[in-house]
Amino acid sequence: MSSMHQLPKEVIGAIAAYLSVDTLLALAATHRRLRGIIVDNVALWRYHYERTYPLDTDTELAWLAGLAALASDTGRDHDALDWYRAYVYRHRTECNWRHGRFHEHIQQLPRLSQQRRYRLLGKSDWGAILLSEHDRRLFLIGGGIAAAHQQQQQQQQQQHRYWQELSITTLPDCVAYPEKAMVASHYVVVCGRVVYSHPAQRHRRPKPPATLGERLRRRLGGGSGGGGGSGAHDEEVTVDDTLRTWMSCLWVWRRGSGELLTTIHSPNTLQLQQLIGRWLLVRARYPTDDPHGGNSRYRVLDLRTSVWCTGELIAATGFCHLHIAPSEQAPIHADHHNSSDEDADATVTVFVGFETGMHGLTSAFRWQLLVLGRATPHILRSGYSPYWPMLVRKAGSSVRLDDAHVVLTVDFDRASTAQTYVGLLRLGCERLQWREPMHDTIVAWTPDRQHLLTTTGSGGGSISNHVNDDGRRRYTVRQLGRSDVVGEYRLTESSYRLHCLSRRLAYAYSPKTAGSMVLDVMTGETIHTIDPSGLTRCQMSFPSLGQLMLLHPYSGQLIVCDFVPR
Amino acid sequence: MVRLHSSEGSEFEVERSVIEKSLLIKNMLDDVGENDAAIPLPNVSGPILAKVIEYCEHHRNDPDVDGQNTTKPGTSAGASSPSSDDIDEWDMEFCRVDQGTLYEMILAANYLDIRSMLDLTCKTVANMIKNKSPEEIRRTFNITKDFTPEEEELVRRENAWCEDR
Repeated sequence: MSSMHQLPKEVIGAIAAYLSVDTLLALAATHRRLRGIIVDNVALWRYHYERTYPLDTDTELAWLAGLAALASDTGRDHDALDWYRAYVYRHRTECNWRHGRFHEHIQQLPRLSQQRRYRLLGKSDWGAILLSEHDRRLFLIGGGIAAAHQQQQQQQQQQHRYWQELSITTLPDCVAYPEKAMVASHYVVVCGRVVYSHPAQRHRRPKPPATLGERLRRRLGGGSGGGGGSGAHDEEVTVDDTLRTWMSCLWVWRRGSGELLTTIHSPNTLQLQQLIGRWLLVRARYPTDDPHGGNSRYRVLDLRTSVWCTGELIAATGFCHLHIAPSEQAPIHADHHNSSDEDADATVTVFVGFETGMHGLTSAFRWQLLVLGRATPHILRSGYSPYWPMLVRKAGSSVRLDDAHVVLTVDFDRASTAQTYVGLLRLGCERLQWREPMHDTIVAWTPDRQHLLTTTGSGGGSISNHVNDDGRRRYTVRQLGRSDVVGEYRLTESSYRLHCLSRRLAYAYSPKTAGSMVLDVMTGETIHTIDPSGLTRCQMSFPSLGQLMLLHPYSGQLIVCDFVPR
Repeated sequence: MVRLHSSEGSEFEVERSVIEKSLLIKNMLDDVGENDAAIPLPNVSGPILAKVIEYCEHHRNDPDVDGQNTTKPGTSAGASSPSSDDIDEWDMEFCRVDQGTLYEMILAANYLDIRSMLDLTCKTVANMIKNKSPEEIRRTFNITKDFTPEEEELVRRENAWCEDR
């Protein structure tokens, strides 16, 4: 044995296991055989990939799923992801964001009639759902849906790589009004209302409405049903509100193929709360419920079987979430075909929090981790935290950080000053650790939820007022569980929407000024502007790690900026 | 005592508890039971077998490496990264041999299934590679470049992504 490149493959693999990525590439550049052994070492590159880009967030999972679909689209083996290529592409994608490098093209959604627009019903890393006000058609855009879709329909046109229509079905004489949507790895869910009215209750509208608001209201009130009716027909009839029967409705599609899987009607009001993999958490409101009550009812639906999990959960409003990791439910390669036995045994863990023991201004917080499925729910773990912030809770939410931690966000009204508490609940030791109350508004979280971006002024992801004396808006980066400020930076424009692309990168977009840039979350440095043509006409942005979509809601023009290298 | 025959026919005698660091030999001994017959090791030369025995004797009281929390890429995702810096002084001196001998020791450890020795020798080679350019690696390990100029350019371009930050 005179040289290293003659060593057996498994030995070279063992040596490579101790090398960094840079050194691996240098070694691979020395000899053809070494290169083959190193580049083809799936386990090695998967290790480096998961170590560098942990697959514990939807952001990363969605990017990788999009890449896998893209690979299958280009004829590569879908079942065996090339982890070396995945690593290279992931690295280069982030670099492309940093350097403002992207491939830009324009897609056209179906054109709408005058003064009608596309409305956003919901978005996630897996895509966004748009509703056309013109005819109440639904469209799924982004999130790499198109590649998977095209795999199944090879003849699909190129434009459908980026958007896909979702068809709605309704009962006879019913009109559907989609209101909210969620997109996850395998499913798309839209929640809305369905109005049932007898044909006899319809009557001709005496004259066309004078204003746009009236026109819209009457059109929505007397649609032809099925989500695909013509606008002209909608204008001809209207329905007396008092004669209608309202129902909540859930429509569920398979993401990728766009196949409508099920439609669920309910006499109660259903509100989408969370969608992870096959599990959907909804908030159910009965007509008899107190609208101002502090508690809500929650239910979990198994989308794979369209069966509700046994049991109804009562929790403080907002403090109920699916306590499962996205990676548990979103394998890199789509797998919708588990056996029926596995379906029957499938369970999901749900976090439920509720307030108890009010004593004056303070209260306690109790929580449970429940296992739901087809069997009777059982408590996996429960706890009690005595130091629940006092005063009137205005809103709040809980979200899983990891198996052992839950992040609680609570907004309080205190002497007419809004205060937000962010707490870290350690499930193992039942400890609830609150950071200092903030007068700032939470604008965004990093995908791993280790850092949060806050700013002064009103929230909702968009900051439009309370600019500082220097004319700039101050953004603060805080680390979860620590009271000190990690970083602070200022933007010259005031109306930015921020979206964290990774642990370090955030995309900032201002529909008002068409400002579009990439920021370093930790330093506040503006790294690069993202300036596609036609940017000024867009009002909606859908950033994801792989691509940025900017929509002009009236024309249906979609500017797509691909950051995944070609 | 266990008798071992190297590829040239040299015979070595070693305590069973020592040589059982080799899973190959341990399994053979477990299979054949008490037996005076020498175990032939046609893939291991005498000098290398002597090094192997030296290693096993020094590490006879070490716990099995399989039981340790040393995780290698591909064996368990999400674990701490394997490090090649944790080599103690004796092991470092043990591996201070010429490259040909080091390769023979790797092959012997691999063949005899001595996990800790394979790890040690691979770490040693990895440390020799670290922070070197492709040309320096070629020189260090006497690797003959077999890329065509076109292939080399392709590799250079493909690897350029790594320098992009």
